[in-house]
Amino acid sequence: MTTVDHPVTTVPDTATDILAAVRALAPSLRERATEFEQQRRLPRDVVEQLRAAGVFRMGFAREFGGADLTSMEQTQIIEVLAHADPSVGWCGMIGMDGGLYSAFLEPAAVRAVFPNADAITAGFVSPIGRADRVPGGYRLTGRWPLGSGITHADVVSAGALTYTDGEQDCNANGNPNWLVMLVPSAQVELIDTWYTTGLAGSGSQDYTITDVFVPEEHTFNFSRPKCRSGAMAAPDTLMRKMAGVPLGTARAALDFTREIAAAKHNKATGERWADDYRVQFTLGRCEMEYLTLRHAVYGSLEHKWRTLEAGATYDDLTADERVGSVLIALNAFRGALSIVRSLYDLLATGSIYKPSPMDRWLRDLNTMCQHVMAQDVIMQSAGASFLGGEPRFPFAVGVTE
Amino acid sequence: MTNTSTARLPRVPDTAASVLAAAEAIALHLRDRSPEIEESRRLPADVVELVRATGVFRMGFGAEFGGPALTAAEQTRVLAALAYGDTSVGWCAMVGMDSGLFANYLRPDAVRELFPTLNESIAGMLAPAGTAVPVPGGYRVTGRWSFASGITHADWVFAGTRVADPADAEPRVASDQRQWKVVLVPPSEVELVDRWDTTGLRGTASLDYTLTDVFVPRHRTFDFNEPRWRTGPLSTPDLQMRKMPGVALGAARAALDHAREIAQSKQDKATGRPWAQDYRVQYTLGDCEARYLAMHHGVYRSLDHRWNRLSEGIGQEDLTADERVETALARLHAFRTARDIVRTLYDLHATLSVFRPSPFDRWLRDLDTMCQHFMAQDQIVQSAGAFLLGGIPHNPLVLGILDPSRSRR
Repeated sequence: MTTVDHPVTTVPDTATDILAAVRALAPSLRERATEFEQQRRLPRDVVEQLRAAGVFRMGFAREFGGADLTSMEQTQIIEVLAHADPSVGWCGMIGMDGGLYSAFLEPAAVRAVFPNADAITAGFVSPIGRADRVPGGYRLTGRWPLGSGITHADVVSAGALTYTDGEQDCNANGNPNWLVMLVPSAQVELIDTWYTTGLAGSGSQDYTITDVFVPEEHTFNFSRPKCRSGAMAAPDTLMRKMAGVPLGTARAALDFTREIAAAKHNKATGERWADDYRVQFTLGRCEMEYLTLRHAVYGSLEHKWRTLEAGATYDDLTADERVGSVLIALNAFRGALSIVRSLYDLLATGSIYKPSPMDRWLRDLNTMCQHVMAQDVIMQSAGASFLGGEPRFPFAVGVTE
Repeated sequence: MTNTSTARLPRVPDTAASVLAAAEAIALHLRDRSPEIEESRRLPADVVELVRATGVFRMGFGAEFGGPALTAAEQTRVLAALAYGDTSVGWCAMVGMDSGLFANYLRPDAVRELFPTLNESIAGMLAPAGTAVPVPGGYRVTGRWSFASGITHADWVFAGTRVADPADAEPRVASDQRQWKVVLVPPSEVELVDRWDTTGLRGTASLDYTLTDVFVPRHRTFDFNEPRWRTGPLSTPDLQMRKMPGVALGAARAALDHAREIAQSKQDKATGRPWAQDYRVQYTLGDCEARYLAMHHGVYRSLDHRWNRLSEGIGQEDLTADERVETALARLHAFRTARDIVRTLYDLHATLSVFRPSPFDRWLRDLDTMCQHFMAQDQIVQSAGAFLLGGIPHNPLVLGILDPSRSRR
């Protein structure tokens, strides 16, 4: 009998271990945040650290080598990453989508598209590209924006409407047929448009795909699960963990402010900040907003998770159950921005100098809150669902057909 | 053999699920009675009995007394269900059920004597606005208190006092250093002063009351510093504060459901366009629902978290600073958010809100009044922030701190 004596590097594959691994990375990520911003992308070595921590395998099922985490666990880990740096949190949040996409692919296609469960995805899933049907698949062409993490992605997603013989296809509901197509990153051309005020490190560039053949089995629709059932087979898995980024960012700003406030004195009066009404009140209010946001995020996710795992389909959910977590995610984005803005104002000119991360957190949240999931259209779509009206962003309420 | 004495007792629900179901079952009837409840500025006697029959007054009593021992989150759900019907009823039930919570500070034999059916309601004011002069066997109590919601139907009245030094002929009323003692007296020994003419929560009959040199035996008094439990969820002085946000949650949910119902059938008079297709209506309902969800999850999850943590066998001193401030903040957030939601819906319905047949007007008035309560004030926000930073909370009690001289963390 011999034992293997060379060290085997193992990637963590439980929620506890991945959480511990990202916590261990956090201090160095915070230290390098300025560098990420300057490069307008995540440096390669950081991407590999995240991969080695198990971040990108969170959503894959065990049979594909994934860690099979719940949406709540995914969110928690993304919170820790965003607490270190929001751009890292954002790229972690997007980069793990491969495991979520895999629910809608046949097992063989999962293995063909993703070299392993640590493969990184990026892309824009809304159907703004065109896919013409050819034998065995589609030829895909288009330009998509906001490909966060695309500079380091292995697999790129792209949403398209399908055409047969030049005519737009319709699905069973008579609507245009929306498919998300997965292509290797080598077949994608990047256009560096990513000059932004916030989330600069996320490298969310535009990209084009030009007349690329995509096999039929490498395409999917979020309402047609193929290899999973239960909570991970629902059309909203992508959206569930997004709130982790604003929550982690707000927590980082709160912790930072508390640390400053506990030691600082008013320069003019000598009064301790800890004894100052304005400081106490502002912190109390921001903590109140934060804790209700966070409880709402996890409370709604847990409720949805339990209901779907108990055998309900997405259509069985009430309108309230379907849109609750989406409304709450919107609240988390906007609430985090409001918290960070209050703390920014609390620290006044102390916020504006680059060594203070407060300035970056505010810029990151300003940019983050332009995402569609933080827009008024989500409020409208939720309200319309309650009333039987027409949601303007149907994906938000789980309608993808 | 039949047990006739048991057979004659009404069957009162005695589990979390059955008390909740009973509360839900009477909610819409309560809604119908709301104008009358407001008009009488108290709960009519038959409404009190209806509420009593749900088991709400007994829901805080522990199993040792034969009570259903609901957790704080379960109590909150029941109160939300009653407030969904009528806010004043929810409020009176919320105070009336304190009998079962105060039982954690009284001697077990006193509990059995005072609350023979466990379904006795209680009313009063805890703040030490009166004086208790020690005498053999108890205290002689004098004072005037306010805000005794439900006192017109209560079976017992509580009153907060400072214990006067027996050697001190002129008690120093302003001093905080003397013992804070809560006394329980029968309503017959209390004189009511009716100045409850308010805009909102009119039905709660939150009258002033006086006690004049009334003897209270020692076993009908208690001190929050002396709970019968040293650890666990019943050991901490925030016991009777935890379920308060149920009233705000129920009122906000009622207004939201009512608004949705209207919006599903209403059409814009000028354009004929259904409200269900109207951007402003859709957006406003989405926005209000988002705020409601945050308050709902904030309240219930913070309550469950605290209950579960204390159930590990620890006391409040073992909680982290963040855990200490959590339920107070979630509670204040619920009061204020409920008010914001109702105001937004009131505006959504414009002039439709102002007419008495529409309950929006009443919900808004109820919440405007409710948000003036001690538990919905800025000083709670300050207290949380101060506690986290090592400053001095202006309202230490809300964080479970009974000795103000030890309020800095």
